[in-house]
Formats: sequence, structure tokens, C-alpha cells
Amino acid sequence: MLGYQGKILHVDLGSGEIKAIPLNEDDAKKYIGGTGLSARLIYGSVKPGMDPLAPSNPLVFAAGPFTGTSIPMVSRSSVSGISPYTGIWGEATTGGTFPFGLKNSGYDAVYIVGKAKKPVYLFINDNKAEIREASHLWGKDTYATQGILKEELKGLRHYVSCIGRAGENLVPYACIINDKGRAAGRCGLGALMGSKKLKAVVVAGKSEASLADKDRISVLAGQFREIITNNFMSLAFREYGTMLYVDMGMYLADTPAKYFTKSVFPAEKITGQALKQAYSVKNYACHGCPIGCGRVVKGFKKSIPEVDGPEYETAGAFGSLCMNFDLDSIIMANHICNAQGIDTISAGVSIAYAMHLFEKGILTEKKAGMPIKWGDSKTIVKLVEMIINRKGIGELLGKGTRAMAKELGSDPEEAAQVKGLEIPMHDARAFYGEAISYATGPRGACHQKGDYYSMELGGMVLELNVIAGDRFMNEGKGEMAAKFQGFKDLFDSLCMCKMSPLSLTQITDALNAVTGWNYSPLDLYACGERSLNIKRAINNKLGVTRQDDRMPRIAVEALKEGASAGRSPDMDMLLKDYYSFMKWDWGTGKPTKEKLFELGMHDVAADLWK
Amino acid sequence: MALLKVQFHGLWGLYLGVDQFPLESSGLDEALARVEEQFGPLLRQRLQERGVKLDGDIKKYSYITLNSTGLQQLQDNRLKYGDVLHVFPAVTGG
Repeated sequence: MLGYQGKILHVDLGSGEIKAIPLNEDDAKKYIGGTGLSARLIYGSVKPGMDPLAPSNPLVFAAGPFTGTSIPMVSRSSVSGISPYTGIWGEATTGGTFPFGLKNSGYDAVYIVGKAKKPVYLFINDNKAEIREASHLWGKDTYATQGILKEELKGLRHYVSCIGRAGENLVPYACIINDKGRAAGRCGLGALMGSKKLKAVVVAGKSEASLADKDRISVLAGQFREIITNNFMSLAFREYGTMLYVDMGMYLADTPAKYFTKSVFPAEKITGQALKQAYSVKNYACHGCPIGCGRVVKGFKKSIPEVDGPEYETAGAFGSLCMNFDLDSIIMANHICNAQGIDTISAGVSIAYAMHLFEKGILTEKKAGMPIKWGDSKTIVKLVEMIINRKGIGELLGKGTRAMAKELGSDPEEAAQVKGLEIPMHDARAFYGEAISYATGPRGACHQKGDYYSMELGGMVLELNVIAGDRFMNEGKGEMAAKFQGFKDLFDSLCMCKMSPLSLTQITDALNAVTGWNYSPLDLYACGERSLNIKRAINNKLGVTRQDDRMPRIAVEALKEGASAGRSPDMDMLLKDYYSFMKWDWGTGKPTKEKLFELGMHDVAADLWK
Repeated sequence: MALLKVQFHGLWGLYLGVDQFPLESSGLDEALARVEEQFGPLLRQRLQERGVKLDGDIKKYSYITLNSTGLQQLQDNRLKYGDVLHVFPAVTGG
């Protein structure tokens, strides 16, 4: 199989069994790789009522066909599983150099089940794998873990993906970290890793996959590099990182503030420009990326010489959402999240919710053990540490907004989450396509799967007739958002960076050159649709219905200020339009048999509709 | 004629060295033409100095709103006193 290693590594941490399984070619052609292929691999293990922390719940690391090639902006890989945080489909992607190392270790994916008796790490090097003792790493933060392994494996070029104390402590939204501070951030897959007593996955090797047409790939890579370099968005990200959007986001009412109740705030204090002015900031680029949108803050503190990030989402979550405009504390909170491995979005939203509840008197000083006031930067940093250590009120905040509302007896419509996953830093009232994307996203509220704001601001998909329109319009927006979601899901199967400005046609050309397939852009788009539908089928099996495809009131009721003042998306209209295009059954929320047959998913149809 | 404010956001403001300026115009089309005439060449020059060569006018690589309404959604050419024409670089966050 060209473009693939052709095998999946199966590891049972309980029995110690390790074996390579051939990659099914039909699965690769239908689901590509990354999260799509992982969903296909996991589907058979999904049972209604399953415990996500049970040893039998698989954790899957996967690369894609582009990983390891010279195509720019493809050093991405995914981690997937049934989320211990939300209880439904969970996925997260990451960049850096680990993805490149994962593919070149000799496998397209690593499928891990079981629970080790004591802490271990998985070592994979050129088609061989072994489970190694990791007791000496348990309790260490992600930076120390990477440092110790670097020392122990001196002389071998290797790449580490690991958890921090949060994952060990089973904090529900613990994440997985690689390349110092790159995060597979969402859905609590770090807790799933911790539940298996798996501290790290270390990959090494030079097993490059064979490619169909190296000359064509070389030509395309050159062209793509020029397109990317000559794109002013690349320039913008290179110069100021993703945080450059904070002020523009505020003017568009896209960057939420004060726990989704405001959209106007002093944005200039927490933009990429402010970061660059106040700190020594360097760029970070993933393997083979000509942009380098990542930020590294140098010389932050004597004890913390380097901080990876912050990125836009983190600046919003610990910044405007908490009415905190102190950059120092945002950087510090970001660093602690990286070092101990928690999702900055879920952490920031949970802390902002605590502030909201404290102001309303629902969360009292007695219950919290401290006042939790808007903009209190010291409290934010303290709460992040308490979440990681599951201490005091941190135990509750670590369970996220849905559980907080339930345990504190507050209005569930004020818990800013969809299907248990916190709403990220793009406001659904600013782009109605975003609202329906959040409501229907396979992992819950997700700005990656349906970053509709980026489409409305210029990232159109002409092959699918997805074009920018009135951002406040409801009519037809459900269909547009569904198409865009399918397109963006492809990026997580191909394992491509979503910042890539390449068109569907250009991506298809590259895939054909890598694999020798003869896909049309619409063939490839169908793979994105297939990925969305198998994840939906997984969620249906876990109890998700149409009633779960909704936004909480706090995130959609009209604001009184800013560019979206007085506006609110019509969720009923959007959802009907979305369902109609997706061919999902209105009564059950399942993909219809017709749709599944259309996508060649006959076995899923038979299973889902039995 | 209406007096409006043109506001350059983010990178545009940085590259042009101007955050906002007043403009008198009889209509939206004229206002946009004057923004292009006054700032288009300079913006493209600034971008080229940074290795990015762009063709076309500012509208092509910007997201422009009149107050909070996108250009594509505006029904007519009329302006009123105090309107703000926001010119954003067409970039998005993470």
C-alpha cells in the first residue's frame, strides 16, 4: 500500500502482547488515516454503557498518508478513543515532530488496550515495539519526562508523547503532550492514557513509507510551499501567531468575554502584538512547516526559562472569558497546563464558569474555599493547579461545566458545553455556521471540525460551493456548515494542519501522488463525510440522539453589546437544514440507512439499524 | 456627503501605520475606492517587503464591514454620518 506502512501495531498493556496487524486497504481507502481510520478501528469495540476508563477501551495514535512526506504542513497525528470526559467519541490532534516519528517508526496507527500493572512506556523503533518500565517517570511533569527519556535514549533520534500529573490523576480533561508543549488537547484522552498506566509513547526509526509518484510529490510540494509562503495569512501567523486574532475577534464579537455574556473587552492587552511587545517571543514550526505559527516565550521566569504558547484559544480561555487581561498570568496558566497536561479550553471555561457562579452567589466562598472573582489572575493560576491535583474546589472544576452545573444545582443552560465538551473561543452568535457546527460536532463543541468563522473570513471551498455569505443568516447555513464540517474532518484523517490554505483539488492531487489512487475531489470529500458518519454512529451507540444536538442558552442568547448585539442563531432552522443535508434521521438522530449505503458503510448500517 | 470613520484592524493598522482616519464620502462605493486609492499601493508594498506578493485591491484580501454588517450583505450604497468602515485582514484565530 503506497503512502502507508500497511500495518497497525496492537498492544495489550495488560497481557503484554504486542503484534502487528495488516492495515485493511479498503479501510484506508474509505477512512484515509488519522481520526477517520481510528474511528473505523474503534467502532467494533463500542458498546452501549461502556466505561471509558475500562482497560478494554482502546486508545489509538494514528498518522496519515501525508505524514513523513515533503508535502508542507502535514506533520500532524491524532489520538482517539471513547472520551473519559464526555463519554462519547473523543479525538484530538497534535503537531510538532512526533507525528513524523510515529509514521517512520513503521506503523500507520498504534492501537492500545489493557492496563499495565505498574507505570510503563511504549517504545517503538523501526517496526519493533516493547513495553518498558516507567515507574521513575510517574509523577514527573511532561517536560521532565521528555528530558529524562532524552537522556536515557541518548544517541537515538526519538520523539515522545506523554502525560503529566493530570493524566496520572485521571483529571477528566487531561491531555497528551509532545514536542515540549504541543498538545493533543481535547476530550480527556490523557486520562484514558493515565488509566492504562501508560506514561509515554516513544517512537523512533527511519522506516519511510513507499510513495506512488515521488517526482510528482516533489513538484506539488514546491508549488504548495510557494502558495503557502505567498499567502498573507501565513505571514500574519508567522509574525504574530494565532493570538493576532484577539482584537479582530473582539470587533467581530467572535472572541467571547465574561463567560459568554460579553463581547467587548480591552482586546489590545492580550493580542499577539501585545505578547510580542512585552516578552521575548520566538516562532515554533512543526516539522516541515513554512509558517511557524507557534509561539515560544523566552526567559519568562528564572525558574521557567521557556514557555510553549500561549495560542489564541488559551489567551481567550484564561483571558477575556475570565475578564483577565494580565498576560503574565495567562502565560503562567498556559505553562502549567502544558507541564501537567490539561486542556486549556476546558480548564479556562470551567474557571470562568466558577467566576460566573460566584458572582451569582451559587458558588460560595465557603464552598469554594476562596473568593473566585472576575479578573483575579492569581486565583486563575491557583485554580489550574488545584484542578491538576484534584484538590479542594479543583476536583469539581476538573469535572467541567456540565458536572459543575449538576453538582451545584445551577441552571444547566448556563453550562457552556455541548455533549460535555466546553465551547471554545469562537462565539456562536458571531457566525451562525459555527453554532450549528458546535451543536453537531462529533466530539462536542469543537472549533476545529467546523471552524466556520474561517470560511466566512475567506477560507471558502469552491469545489463544494461553500462560499462566504451573511454571517448572521440562518437560511441555508445548516447545509453549508455540514459541507464545511465534512471538508474539515478530512484534515484530521489526512493529518494536515487546518491552517493550510490548499484547496480540496490541490489536496486530492497530493493524495493521488502519494497513494497512486485516482480520487476526484468529491471522492475525497466523501471520505470526510464517511468519517463524520462513523463517529456519529459511535455516538449513537453511546446514546446520543437529536436532543443532544443543541447549544446551551448562555452561548446563543443575544448579547446587548458589540457587533452581534441583538442577534441569536435560529437553532431549529439550522438543525433541520443540517439534518436534511446529512440525511440523518430526525426521530433518532442516526445517519439514515440511505446515507450509510450511499457512503458504502453497509456494515455500519446493519449494526446501527438492527 | 457623510462623514465616516475608516478603521484598519490588526496587521493592516500595523503595516500602514494608521489605525483610523476620517473620510467624507457620498456613498459606500466611493469610500471603498478612496480607501484603495489612498492605502492599497502602500499596503501591497509593505506586504511585498515581507515576501508576500498580492494582486488585486484591498477588498480581495480583507473582511470589510460597515458597522457590523459585511459588505456582501449591504443592500445599498448609502452612508450616514458616524458610520464606521472596518477593514480587517482576512485572517482567523486558532
